[in-house]
Amino acid sequence: MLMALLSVALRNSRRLFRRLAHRLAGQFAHALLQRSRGLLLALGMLAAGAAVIPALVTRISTVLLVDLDSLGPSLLVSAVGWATLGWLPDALRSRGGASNTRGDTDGRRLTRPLLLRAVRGRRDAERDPPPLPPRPRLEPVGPRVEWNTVDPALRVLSIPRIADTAVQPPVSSFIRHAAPSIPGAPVRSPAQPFVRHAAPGIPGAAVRSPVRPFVRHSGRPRHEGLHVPVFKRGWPDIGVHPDASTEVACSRTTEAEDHWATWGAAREGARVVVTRTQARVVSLLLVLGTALMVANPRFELMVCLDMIAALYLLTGLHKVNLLIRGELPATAETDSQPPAGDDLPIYTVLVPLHREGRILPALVERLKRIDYPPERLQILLLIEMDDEETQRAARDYPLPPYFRAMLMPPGQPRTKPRALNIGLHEAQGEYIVIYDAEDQPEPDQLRKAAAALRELPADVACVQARLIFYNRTQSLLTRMFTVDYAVWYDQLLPGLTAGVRRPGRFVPLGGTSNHFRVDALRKIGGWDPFNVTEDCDLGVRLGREGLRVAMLDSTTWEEAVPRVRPWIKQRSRWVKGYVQTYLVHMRRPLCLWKQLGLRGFIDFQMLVGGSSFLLLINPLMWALTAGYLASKGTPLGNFIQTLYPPLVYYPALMSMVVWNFILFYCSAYVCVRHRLLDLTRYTLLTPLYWILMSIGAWSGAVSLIRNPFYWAKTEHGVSLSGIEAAPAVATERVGGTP
Amino acid sequence: MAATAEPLAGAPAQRAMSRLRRRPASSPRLPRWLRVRMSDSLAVALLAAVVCIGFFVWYDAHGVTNAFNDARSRELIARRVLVSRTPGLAQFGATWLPLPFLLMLPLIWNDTLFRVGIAGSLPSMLAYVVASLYMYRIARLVTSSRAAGWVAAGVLMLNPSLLYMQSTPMSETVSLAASVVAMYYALRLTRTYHALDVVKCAAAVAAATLVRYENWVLAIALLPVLAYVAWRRRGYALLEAWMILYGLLAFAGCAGWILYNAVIFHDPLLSFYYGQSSHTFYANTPDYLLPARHHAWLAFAVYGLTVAKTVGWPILAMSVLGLGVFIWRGRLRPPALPAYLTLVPFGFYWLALYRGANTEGLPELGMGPYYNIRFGLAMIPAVALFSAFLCMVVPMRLRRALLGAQLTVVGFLSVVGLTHGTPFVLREAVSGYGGDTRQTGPREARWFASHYRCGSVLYTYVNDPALMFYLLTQDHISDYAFITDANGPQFTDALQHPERTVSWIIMSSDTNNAEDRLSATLHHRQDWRHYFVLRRTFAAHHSISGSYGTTQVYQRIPGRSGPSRCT
Repeated sequence: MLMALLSVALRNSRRLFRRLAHRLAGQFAHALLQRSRGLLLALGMLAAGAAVIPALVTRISTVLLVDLDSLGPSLLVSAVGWATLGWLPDALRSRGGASNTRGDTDGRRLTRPLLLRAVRGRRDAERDPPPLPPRPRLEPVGPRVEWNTVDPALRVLSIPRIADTAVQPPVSSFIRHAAPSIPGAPVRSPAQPFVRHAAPGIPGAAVRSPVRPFVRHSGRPRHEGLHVPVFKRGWPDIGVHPDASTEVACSRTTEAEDHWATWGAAREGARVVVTRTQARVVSLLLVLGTALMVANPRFELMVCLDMIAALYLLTGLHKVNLLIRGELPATAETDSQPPAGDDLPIYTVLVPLHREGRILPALVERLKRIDYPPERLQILLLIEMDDEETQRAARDYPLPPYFRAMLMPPGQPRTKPRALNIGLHEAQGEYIVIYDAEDQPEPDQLRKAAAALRELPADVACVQARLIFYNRTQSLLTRMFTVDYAVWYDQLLPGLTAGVRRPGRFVPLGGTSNHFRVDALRKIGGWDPFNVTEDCDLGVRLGREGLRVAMLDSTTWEEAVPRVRPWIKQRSRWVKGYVQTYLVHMRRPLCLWKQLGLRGFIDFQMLVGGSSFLLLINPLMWALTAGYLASKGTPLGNFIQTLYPPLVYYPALMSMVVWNFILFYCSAYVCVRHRLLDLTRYTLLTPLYWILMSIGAWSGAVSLIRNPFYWAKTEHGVSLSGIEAAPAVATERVGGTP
Repeated sequence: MAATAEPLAGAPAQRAMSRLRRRPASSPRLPRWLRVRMSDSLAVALLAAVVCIGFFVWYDAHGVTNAFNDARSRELIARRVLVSRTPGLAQFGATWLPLPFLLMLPLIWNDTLFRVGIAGSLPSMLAYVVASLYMYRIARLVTSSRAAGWVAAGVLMLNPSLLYMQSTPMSETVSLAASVVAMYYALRLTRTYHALDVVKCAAAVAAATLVRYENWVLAIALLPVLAYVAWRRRGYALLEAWMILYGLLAFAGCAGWILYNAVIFHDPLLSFYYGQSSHTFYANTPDYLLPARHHAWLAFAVYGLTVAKTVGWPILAMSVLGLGVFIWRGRLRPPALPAYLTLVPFGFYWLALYRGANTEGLPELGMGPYYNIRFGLAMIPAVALFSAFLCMVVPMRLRRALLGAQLTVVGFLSVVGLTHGTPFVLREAVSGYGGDTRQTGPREARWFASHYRCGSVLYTYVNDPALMFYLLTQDHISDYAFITDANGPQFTDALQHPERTVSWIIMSSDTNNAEDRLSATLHHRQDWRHYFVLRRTFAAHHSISGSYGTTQVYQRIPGRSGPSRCT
């Protein structure tokens, strides 16, 4: 009995000791890991490299198949490597941390740690502040006020004249008291514009656009008998006195920048480039690939080539499918008659500007041609705070009353979508449209869009107008770029939107000329300020919300980049943004599939993921083909030949021939189909264009790693002729004199 | 007028009223599931489908669907792309263009469908339906008359020779369909000027160029027509754009075939300089075998008679009249130009006969047994179109009667042609050089199968494809038992040391045929004869170029060194 009890006690004590030892060992190991994670990481990587690299070199150099015995150690090394890589995100996150999150101007310092951190989006989202409350609805209440009588008052008062029109009514009580004694000064009326004190004691200028006079802000406090909108998170207009504006901006930046970096789409967007799960999956694939490369390099290369060939073929077939669908009657295009002037809704036009001072006058002239009642039009010029050039141009050029130039508060990321979000918050219209600085929309585009959005079902949240270049004959590159645009906007996008019977389809929007329902846009959180192709991302998010996109039968004329280097820069941003978008939305692939539907999911995979990947992989395949042709009969040539057994060879050959031909032919077809007859011959040079696209893609990939949120600015106005540029010059001269 | 229209609320109401007037309420109505609103196109397609299935069954029952040597060869080629010792696209070879084989691939892998013959004939049957449908559309487009469309479709559908050819694995029907589709879209293009029609036309031409070489001429002939139409429409800009759009796709088939030759055989022009290619073959043929060479009138007469025999004299006469009227009525305007492309085959074959690049055998002209008389099928679309157009020249009140008479003649000729005699084209297979002249293939195959137990068989297609065809389809010997000249290295190895590899050798006694590597090699060697014994000699196989010699069957002597078991 005693022995039995003793044995039981001993057994239990052993178990207890074992548990204790395990716990202690675990704690010790944990502490060790916590304290020397970097060291362990380095050691692990060194060990993995020492084990893998010689074997890899040996295998590749001998080009022999190895037996399966060597697979065991390789897999062991791979497992160690994977475990090491699995710590990588945490280790880097703990190091990269909070030291580099704000404060730079181009996003460089901000972005690098975010890429390396690879934090989970959801965790960050939980820490984010709640989204902005939607703006109360604004209603038109009165006639538009003419402010051309303000000038004498400004002259007398020596107030800098910033815009020629009534952007800046005389300010506050100073003017109110002084104006009656000045001949020609305006007489205040109930519809007089909103006035705000820019800064105490500084005779500033108006801060609200003349659209405001006929818009009553219900529920807002009255200030000196005027309707004065009060913004907790406001930002100055350009009309503010320079000193005052700086002061005001600085006093309000912190809150604003904190807000816009985490508002709406930014919360679970591209701010986190790669999540931890994605990093682990990628590292696992890399490690497994390395292991397989060590064990059986030829087999792995064969598998990779087969998959690439299949991707080429599938992408080509998908493109043909889109082209055929693009020939179907475009159900989205509306033939409805635009409503009469009285029925037109208030429309907001957002024009983000950055270093566009040179073409701002031309832009204003073009926007003035829009056929829409000015009292129902709100045009917001979104100008960065440090962009002196554009600010100067906006001050010097006489802006019509319905134009309003806004300064963006400083903050990061300083991108176009961030400016658009701010513009969205300020928008008073029922519908909203985005134009770039060089855009020239058809005059009746807003009327058409308003009619379309009114007639189409409520789940159609956006109509996309066609884009085409006005400088297509400027250079060879612009010609080929025009063909590229024509394929995209005239054939593929109608193919994506045609025949849509249920919501949830994916349409990668164009950067400009997309007309939204403001409510829907606010509901889905505006644009992702960290995504450098915010348009494509927005298209996916619309689809995921069950909202649809339709094509609008209207054209906006744009400027093609005429030189190679800027073109590559632009293309690199596009590819980078597509990869960003792909990574963001593939965080939960099954969820994406469920929300977009099978067809939308396939469209997304082919257009966003597949096309970007193929652009990156193209040079490698070209090099492989050229290498084979150059080394035919040599050991290298024979090795390449062994990579293509019949199972791979025929699909690869077919995809190479079919894919290339389809792309070639699509371009030629679109040229003939859409009357770009003079460009048809340039489609024969499409391979040269592909080379440039691949260069741009690689540039974008490098930029994604080095600086994911860097916005490669496209220079606009390069092709402006002397006639078009003349108003700018003239305005600069005239604008200085009152 | 106003009074009658007043109670109606619009066009739909008018149509509803007229329907009510036409059909009394008391008349019996068909059940809903029987009330089918069928368009003419659908009716033509359905009718053609029924006819083609019926005639396939008919000719299969008579055992002539594979009467042509080429039909058997084509089925064997398509089969070995998927089922052979060395499957792959290289099995297409360099002689025949690949599209008919590609169309056979979806079914040919199945043993049952292959042996029944439907796998090989199905592409031709589908092509027959497509050709009928587009023939109707062409005639309707040109004449703006449904009845004329029916007449044209009838002339094509009821042609006895075509009814036979659509039940075989030959490429003529597929070629005909592709060219008819191309001509339809070319005609439509002259009316719509739509880029999509250019693409469709080019795609059809590309398909046609991958079926028969004469369609390469059609592809070239369409170039000036489209160029002229485009130039008349919008000048040089449209001309250039159309030429690029058409040329890129229409000649993609030709480029693809040349690329195929380069990749597979490392010689892009192998098809043109290959030993069996027609023009090189006939270049070395003596003049007495090519009586039309350098005789323009004889060449015209030979091909004209072929066409007349194929379509029937009355219909040919009507079509010639119709062509005359078509030209006389000033039909040289752009919208009518593509219609003349239906005459391209006549020019092509006349030139081929005149230049001696090919030949025909017509006993009616004292030119030996029937040979290549199936060339006449290419003129059926022209005959159908212009004979249907003839009806348009008569006054309206006579038009319906003339169309009815024409359809009656077509039907009568078809019935007579099918019931009282062999269809013209079939004569080539039955009594000409196109078929198995010995008519003993099945019997010889049965003998071999009764003696064959196992082991590999060394064999060449050049010798006699009929024997292997029957061995595979009738006697169910495995495809993998044969080592042929299509198996590349395996064939070379077996040729070097047959005693180590094969148990049977089937070869020709003709040692002069350089194409037959088996006979040319083994007949001059004695080392292998120690291991094999001659078991049987079959009768000689004849063709226009002479006899291939007798077929000899050798069996490996049991007990000698070699393969120890059946492999």
